Amino acid sequence: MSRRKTSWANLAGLALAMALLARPALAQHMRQRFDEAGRRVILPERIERIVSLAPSITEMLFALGVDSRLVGVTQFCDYPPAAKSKTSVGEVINPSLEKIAAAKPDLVLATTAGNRRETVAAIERLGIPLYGLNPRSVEDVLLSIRTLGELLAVPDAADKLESGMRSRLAAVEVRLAGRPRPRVLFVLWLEPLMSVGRQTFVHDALARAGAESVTATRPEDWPRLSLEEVLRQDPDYLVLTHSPALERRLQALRTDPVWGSVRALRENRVILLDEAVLRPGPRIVEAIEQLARALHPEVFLQ
Amino acid sequence: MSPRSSLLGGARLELRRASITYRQSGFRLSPVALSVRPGQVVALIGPNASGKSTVLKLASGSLRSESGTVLLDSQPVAGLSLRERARRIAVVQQESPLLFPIRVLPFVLQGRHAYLRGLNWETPEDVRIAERALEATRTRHLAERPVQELSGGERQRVILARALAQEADLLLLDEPTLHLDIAHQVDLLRLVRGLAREQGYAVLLVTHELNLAAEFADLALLLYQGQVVREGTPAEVFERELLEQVFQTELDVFIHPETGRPRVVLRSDAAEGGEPPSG
Amino acid sequence: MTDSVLTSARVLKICGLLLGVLLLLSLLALSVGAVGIPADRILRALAGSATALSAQDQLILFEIRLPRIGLALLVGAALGVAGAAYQALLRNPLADPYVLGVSSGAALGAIFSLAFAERVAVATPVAAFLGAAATIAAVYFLGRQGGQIAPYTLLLAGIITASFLSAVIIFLMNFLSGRDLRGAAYWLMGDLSNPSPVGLGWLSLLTVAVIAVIFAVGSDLNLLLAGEPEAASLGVNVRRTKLIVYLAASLATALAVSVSGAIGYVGLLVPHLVRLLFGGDYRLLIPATALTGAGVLLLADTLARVIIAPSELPVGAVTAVVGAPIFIYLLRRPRKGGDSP
Repeated sequence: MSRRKTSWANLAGLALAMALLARPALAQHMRQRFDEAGRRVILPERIERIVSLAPSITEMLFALGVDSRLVGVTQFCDYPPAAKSKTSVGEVINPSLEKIAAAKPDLVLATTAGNRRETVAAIERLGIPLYGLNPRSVEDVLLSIRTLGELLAVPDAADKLESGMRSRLAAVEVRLAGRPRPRVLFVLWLEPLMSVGRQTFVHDALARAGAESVTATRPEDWPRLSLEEVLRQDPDYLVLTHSPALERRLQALRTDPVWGSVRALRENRVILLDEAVLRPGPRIVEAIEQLARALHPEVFLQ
Repeated sequence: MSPRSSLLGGARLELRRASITYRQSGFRLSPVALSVRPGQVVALIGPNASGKSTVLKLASGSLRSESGTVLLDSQPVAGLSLRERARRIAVVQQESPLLFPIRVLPFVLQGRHAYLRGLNWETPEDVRIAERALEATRTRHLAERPVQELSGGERQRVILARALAQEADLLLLDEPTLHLDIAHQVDLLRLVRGLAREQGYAVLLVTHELNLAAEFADLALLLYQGQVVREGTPAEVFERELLEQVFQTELDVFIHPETGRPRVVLRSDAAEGGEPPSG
Repeated sequence: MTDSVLTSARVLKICGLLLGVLLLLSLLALSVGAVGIPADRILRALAGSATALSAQDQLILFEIRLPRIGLALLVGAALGVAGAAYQALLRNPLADPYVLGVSSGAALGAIFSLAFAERVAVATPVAAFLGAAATIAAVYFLGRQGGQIAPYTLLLAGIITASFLSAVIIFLMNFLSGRDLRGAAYWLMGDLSNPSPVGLGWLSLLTVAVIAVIFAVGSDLNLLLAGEPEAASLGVNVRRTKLIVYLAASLATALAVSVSGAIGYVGLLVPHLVRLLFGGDYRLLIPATALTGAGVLLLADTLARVIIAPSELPVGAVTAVVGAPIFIYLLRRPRKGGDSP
């Protein structure tokens, strides 16, 4: 008789375990949101453990002061330096699902500016809540910060960060009022020559820095240009991110017959920006300020 | 291997005014009448593109005759299923190159394919039949050797063994002696004739080698430009003027003193009075 | 019976052996990964114990590793068998599952869906499969001669189609946004890290069915290798056999490629490996290649998962790096088997 009872208890225990295993999410009180990529996300009210799948997101989380809740970052999350000591879950492009699962996150944060759709789908399938960001402009970045503040229950920190960024942007805008806009070519990659299209946040950053991107008409994210096109567009400046290899290559190209006739290169109107310009995070403002100062030094004398 | 019982003295293979036209090249084979009895060796001879292989293909059923019929033991070949055809007609033809190594015994066992049942595994009986075929062609000692390692003559006999494993009644050979030296040529055809005589095979043979045909065939058909221009015993067919006309070259025909069979000989330049160039 | 004659007993014995090795490999793969899980606990969890592993380890084991291993096994089996089948059909020892353009068609379908069907994750494998199917049909009609498949023409048709499709793909990739481009790159290399949105159950059913079909015509394939006229006179329905093999092998390729992209070298090399070990009779080659292909791809994927942990390589990178030297060796070694150069 007792043997029968035990086996029923076992079965019940197994069933319960399987039920819990199947839907771990039911354990907490949940809420629903739509993320910036239009996905429906169900996430817990209290988020204690966060995994970030992009350096820009990690920067935002540190800036919001919630880095203590960060249990997983990517290998490329290097700012602020403290981020490097967090547990890595792999690369941005192909993070390890196992490591992400092992971190037991309440929420995973991803961005269209770096993560693959397949990664998002795989994490979704594991039943782990994932909220996606989709920064297409500087305004989007600001709104993301606000959203994260609300999601992570730090609205005050978010507010402070956002308004700080907005006032700095406004200051730049004021100084640039009425100024002519130099035409720039943002060089994302040299060989093949790739720039940024109008639907990217980089493009928006350029505009806010008082520049006019010569690739403003291109709808693709990373348009490729021919040298002919560059000569035709005749930008006033070339803008690149700091990279010794890139800079050396560009210097070498000054002797190239075709590149040599690009006016901006010939006249050495090459502006080097911090890599932060490529991260849709808090430091995009610094990058904008840096570019604005380089393009319009007269109005920034202080 | 006992031959299937058939009408005593009746033809095993019969082409009744079978013909065909190749659409692409326009080559036309005129209606052919031909019959091969059990135990008989019939040779098809003629210059290139005279239609010899075409006749063979009509006989095997791989080409369908446009007119007339092709009969096997008085049954239309066209009406036979592929498996049935493989059990009654064996073809020895120009070999495609082998891609992967294979040993002689499994190669010869391929001849049993039409008899396999179910998931196609060979039975011990199939193996025995294959071994007997190897014995008949005196290649039993090569059973475990890779086919690729055999000499030309051995290889041709192994291919013949595979055909014998089919336990067919009709044996069709398309230029079986093509790459063989004379000893192996004679060897092979002697084997073939022996099979006809002793096992009752009906044999139809296409060959370029006029003298081999003369020696080993009971009947010969001479084809020229898609038509049968002479048929009969080799002595009847090998007429000098006819051969010269058909083959467009100068020949002599002699009769072998012992066998009584004709021999075709090239006429040499010396007889014409030609001299080698001096110097 | 003598050694050189294949019997069903021998096939069962060898497949049993391979299956055993495969099970061991699977267990090994299960116990390896970015997160360490002890093997004995794995065994207990597999045996049904609900307490052997923590909930999160169970998640990792059952939701991440097990499906991925299953996928690797299926794709490896499908690619191996497809390669072996194509080698017989095209009478070419250097044929692989992609030579007839199936993978290019699938890639085109996948990239189309990446570019235009953003939200729906399952769209990609389905679109890839449709692209592959359309290519299979197109190449068949291009490669026919006299109403049946002509190997040489088929090969040419496949190569030309693949080349054309690749051009279209490159053209389309221009219009992909940045992140889709990354996805497309992974797909083209061959990658098992994304669990198939199509249930593994369905996938295994289809794969096994297709492999079974090819196995059923195994002895026909042996004779086909001797040459088409020879096979015909030995009783093989050459036309029907070629069509069946073409469809089944192409479908197997389409299935594999739809869920994992174009993983290279497995379909090309595993059949040769099996031939070296067990001989070239297709009645053994087909099941043995399925099992060996499964094992080889599982090994490669396991390596891809751990070699730079916690990052992962796409498995196609591993098969290429290991496969290319083996391929070159095969090309260059003195030919002792086969007549063709």
